[in-house]
Amino acid sequence: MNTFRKVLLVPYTFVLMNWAVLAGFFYFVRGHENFWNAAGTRRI
Amino acid sequence: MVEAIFWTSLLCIAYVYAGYPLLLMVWRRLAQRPVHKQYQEPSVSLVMTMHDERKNVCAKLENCFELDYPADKLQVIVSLDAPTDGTDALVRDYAVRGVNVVYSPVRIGKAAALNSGVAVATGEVLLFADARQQFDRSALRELVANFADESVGSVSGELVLLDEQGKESSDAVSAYWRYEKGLRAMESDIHSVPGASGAIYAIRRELFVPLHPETILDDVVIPMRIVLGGKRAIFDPAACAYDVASQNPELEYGRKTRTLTGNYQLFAQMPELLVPWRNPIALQMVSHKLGRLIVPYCLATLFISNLFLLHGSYLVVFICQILWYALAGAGWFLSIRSAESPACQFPQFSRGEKEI
Repeated sequence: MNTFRKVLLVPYTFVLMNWAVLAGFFYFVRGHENFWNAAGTRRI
Repeated sequence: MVEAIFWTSLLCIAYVYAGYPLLLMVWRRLAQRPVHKQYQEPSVSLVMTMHDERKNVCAKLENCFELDYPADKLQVIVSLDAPTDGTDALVRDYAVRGVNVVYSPVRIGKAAALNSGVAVATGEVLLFADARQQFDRSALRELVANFADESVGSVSGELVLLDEQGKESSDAVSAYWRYEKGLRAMESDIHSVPGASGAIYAIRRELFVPLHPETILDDVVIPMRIVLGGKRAIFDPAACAYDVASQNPELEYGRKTRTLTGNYQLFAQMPELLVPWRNPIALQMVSHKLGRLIVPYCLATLFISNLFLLHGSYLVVFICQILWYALAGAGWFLSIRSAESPACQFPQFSRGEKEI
């Protein structure tokens, strides 16, 4: 079962990491309050 | 036209994940540049920035004192960025053991905190680290040995992800990380790695230039400035730091999003990184960093263009894509059933967490 879960998590992780690229672009444009960064909530 | 979009998308994805590693393998075989390591003991300033790290700070500082390195040549600096959980009280207890504490009462961000920490550093070498990961006892000695080679300006250690049993983790996130480290090792052998592991990297003190306060990825900006300055930024897997692997991909997603936001910022602030006559590793930068930013759009155009090409071998590719995304959906379902936190939530970034 554990191996089955690991195998299924490979495509899921791949898709999630690619989705992170889109989210990253969104945060780059809009800023993100939880980044440990002086830009904070304002535009980076 | 649709076929051109399909094939361009497919080739782009194939190049980023398979073609580029193959290119590196051939390139390394033809033009490897070995680093001439020599064990030495220059003075080192270990600089760590912390916000709310109460649960990690004591273990981290004890770990620093246990390093196999002369105590009189190791300066430990903790730059505190307005902690709210009592981290400052814990760090100040270590001041009697020689830890230099730099304190900011208001939030200034990681990059500015790093600048403040480096400002009090006296060592010939700067070692940067995060609060959570633990160094291997010999990590510092291995890192600084690389500076015997005059061409080396920056050295990144290896971050090893462990499972709950303390063995190297074998889940999907860790597999991705091992693939990533394989790329870095090859890039290092050829010239330089486009970035370092924030958990463990060292540079020559004289090469440090204060960071812009809004910098997200100090562990990419610092090594890349060094590469642009004519030195190498290498990867040495003999210098290890250890971390516990994320138990579910959602946690990794949060870290990855932060890193990728930083990559967009990196290219906006340093476009010269993509210019071959300015950056000796421009091809690596495009293939490794920029390529990862382009792939999701290629996946989307591949899928959409394939919808208009449902015949012959195109149909096989389409079925493979459907199966892949169905498996991803099943993985998502399993993940939300087993994880404590629900999937698809917006990532909560822990301060100080770095790319893994």
